[in-house]
Parts: sequence; C-alpha cells; structure tokens
Amino acid sequence: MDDRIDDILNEAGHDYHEPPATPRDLMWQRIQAARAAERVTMAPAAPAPDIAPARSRRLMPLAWVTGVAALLALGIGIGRSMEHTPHAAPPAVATAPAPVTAPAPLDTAPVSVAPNATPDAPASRELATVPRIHRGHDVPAIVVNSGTRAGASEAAISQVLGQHLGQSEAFLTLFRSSVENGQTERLAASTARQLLSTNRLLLDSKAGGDARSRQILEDLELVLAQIAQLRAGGDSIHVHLITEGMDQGNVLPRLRTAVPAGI
Amino acid sequence: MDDRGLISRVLAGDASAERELYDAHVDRVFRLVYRMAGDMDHAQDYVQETFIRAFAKLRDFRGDSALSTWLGSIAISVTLNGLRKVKRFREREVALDDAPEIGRSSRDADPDLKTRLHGAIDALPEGYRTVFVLHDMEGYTHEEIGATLGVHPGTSKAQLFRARARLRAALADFVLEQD
Repeated sequence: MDDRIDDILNEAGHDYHEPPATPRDLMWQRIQAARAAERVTMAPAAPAPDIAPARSRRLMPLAWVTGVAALLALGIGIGRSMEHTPHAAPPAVATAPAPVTAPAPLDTAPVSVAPNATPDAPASRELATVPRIHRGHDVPAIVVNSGTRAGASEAAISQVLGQHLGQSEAFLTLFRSSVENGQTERLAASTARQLLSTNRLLLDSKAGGDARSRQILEDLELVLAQIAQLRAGGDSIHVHLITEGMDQGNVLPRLRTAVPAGI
Repeated sequence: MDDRGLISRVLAGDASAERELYDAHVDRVFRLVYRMAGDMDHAQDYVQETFIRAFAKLRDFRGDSALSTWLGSIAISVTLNGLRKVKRFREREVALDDAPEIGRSSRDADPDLKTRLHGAIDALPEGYRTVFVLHDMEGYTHEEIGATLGVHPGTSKAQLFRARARLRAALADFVLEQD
C-alpha cells in the first residue's frame, strides 16, 4: 500500500498550489514604487549596528553565557523533576546545550526520544512506544494503562509545557536584546535547536492537542526554526525578519501570558 | 550569468542591472512563494517584499552561497511570517463566528483524493511543508535546501521523510476505502 500512496503523492501532489505564470512586470512596478517611496520618506539611516561600543561588546558574551547558564539550570531541573515523578510517562526534554564554548554542531537533527534518558530506562522505552499523532486528530498522544498514569502523565506534560514556554521566553528575550545591541552570538542557533526539539515533541504530545497550546507552540516553532538556521555572525536581513516575525505574532507577550505563575 | 558582477553593477547604481537581477531570479522565487502561499495576492506581496528587502540589503550579501539561495531564504522567511499573520487573522474571524476549530480535518468532509492530499499538505508543520514543497514540487536537492534553510542536508532528508510519513498516514484510510 505504501507504493500506491507514494504514487498518489507523486502524481497528485504536484498540483498542490500549482503556480501560474509569473506577473513579472506588475510586481517590478510595485517594487520600484515601494523603493522610491522609501527613499523619499526614510529618515537618514541610523548607523548600522555593526560595531557595538567596546564595553557592550565585552558584556554581551557574558550576558549570553549567563543567560545560557540559566537555561541549562532550568533544563537540568526539568530533567530531575521528571525522574522523581512517579508513574509519569516523561515527555522528552531537550538536554542542556553543549558547553558554552562548543555549540552543538549545525547538522544536529531533531531528536525523537528523551536524549537525557538512558536506553534501558522505563521512561525511554515507554516514550519509544508513543504513537506519533497528527495535530488536530482526537488521538491520545500517550498510551496509558490506568487512570492514575493518565492523570500523572497529563500533569507531567503540563509541567514540561510550562517550563518549556518559560525557557523559550527567557531565550527569546535574551535574543531580542542582543539583536538590539547589534550582537547575535552563534550560541543562539544551537540553543534554538535544543528548544526546537522540545517544542516539536510537545506539539506531537497531548499538549499539542489543546488549541491554545498548539497555537503558541506553532508560532514558537517558526521563530525557533528561523533562529536555529542563523549562521554565525547573523545575516542582518534574516535577523530582522526574525524579530519582525516575533513582533507581528506578539510572540513574547503571548509567551509571558502563557507561562504559569511561579516558573 | 555572474552573480558577483551583477551585484557590483547594482551596488554601483546601474538601474538596468537591477532589472536584470530581478528577471534572473523572480520566476524561481515566485514559484516557491506561490507553492507556500497558494494565493496570488499574497504570493505577489511576499515576492515583492522579498526583492525590496534584498535590494535594501544587497550590500550585506557575503557571497558564501549563491544569490539564488540567499533570495530563496529571504523569500521563505517573508512568506512564513506573512502566512502566520494571515492564519491568525482567519482564526480570529472563525472564532467570532463560533465555527469549528481551524485545522481539524474532517474525514467525512470531502472524499476527493486530491483535496484530501492538499489538505494534508496544508496541515503539515511549516518546517516539514517547506522541505516537502522545495524538494518534491520544486525539485531542489537536499544540498540546495540545506543551503537555503541553513541546515545540514541530512536534516532536510529527515524532515522530508517525516513529512511523507505524515502524508501517507493521512491518506492511508482513504486508500483503504477505495479498495
């Protein structure tokens, strides 16, 4: 049956949003008009933030180290709380990032099981049997055998969700402030990848079945994926697209509202 | 055509070079954006914004990737940002009308296979959908996708694998019904 479905994907999929002819001239006129309007209305450009004052250049790496250390502590705390939660099916949590002087390799693919769980631990075996769900379908994300385990697992997911949102809020606040200071440390991409792994696992878990949670997780996924793809040094056009996307989506205010009090 | 030479001419203020650069890349950018947006008005807006930003920041282009790759990565970011705004606006409209939750597929709604498949593609997470569109529809290689999205080609392969797995699962019951 897989072959039939692959044939269907190949044949019918090519019609998906089949592009019409490119309206080149019309778009070019609009582009030129917009650029002309910008030239007329734009105030003298502020100096590009290529060279931050020497003092803030020295401080920014320290701010990143401090910020990442805080996220490390929170991540380790999440892991330990999961170990001590009885009968809980532990949703996967991204490990603490590699030491700050050695960011994770760029080609790290998202993990699909709890990276901080040993292969033989009951937690990882159970997680390995979690069926993947499609968002929007009423399929429970975690298979449980008793009501007690279901309740404990929901509480665990809720806790991990809250802590993930808190971590993400802290990270994006740090990222935003570093952009405003003209710095985008390469740690940003590696930290974003770790958070992105957890985010995707949460989307696939029961947390992703709740409409409100899914919405914030989906918006967060987009921002984290964009930051995760930043190259060292940060192409300014991509950095500005990321911060614009955050503003347009009200991502930070929504995260602050979504994070439970006390996190 | 030599990208570097063309860029130098553009930066020197050569208006004809600007049009040359645009003509050389607009088709590929438009096809990519339209595949993602699925709507002519939005696609035009996103393509226009892509080139406006690209011309404004052309001086920042370091040349460590092809110009087409750089433009593609800008286009994808612009499009995904734009689609997120559109999606949230439409969801607010639906909420006001008390309509069913957006994104919940209804297996009984439309038996047409193509419609089912297209709906399943729409429902893919944006990362998976982007890779699926780039690879399976626009013919990008995993190396090109990796360069455009700033990921390892292996990551692109993994995301494509997961995208296809989700689409197979979405179509499986439909195929069974036909048997």
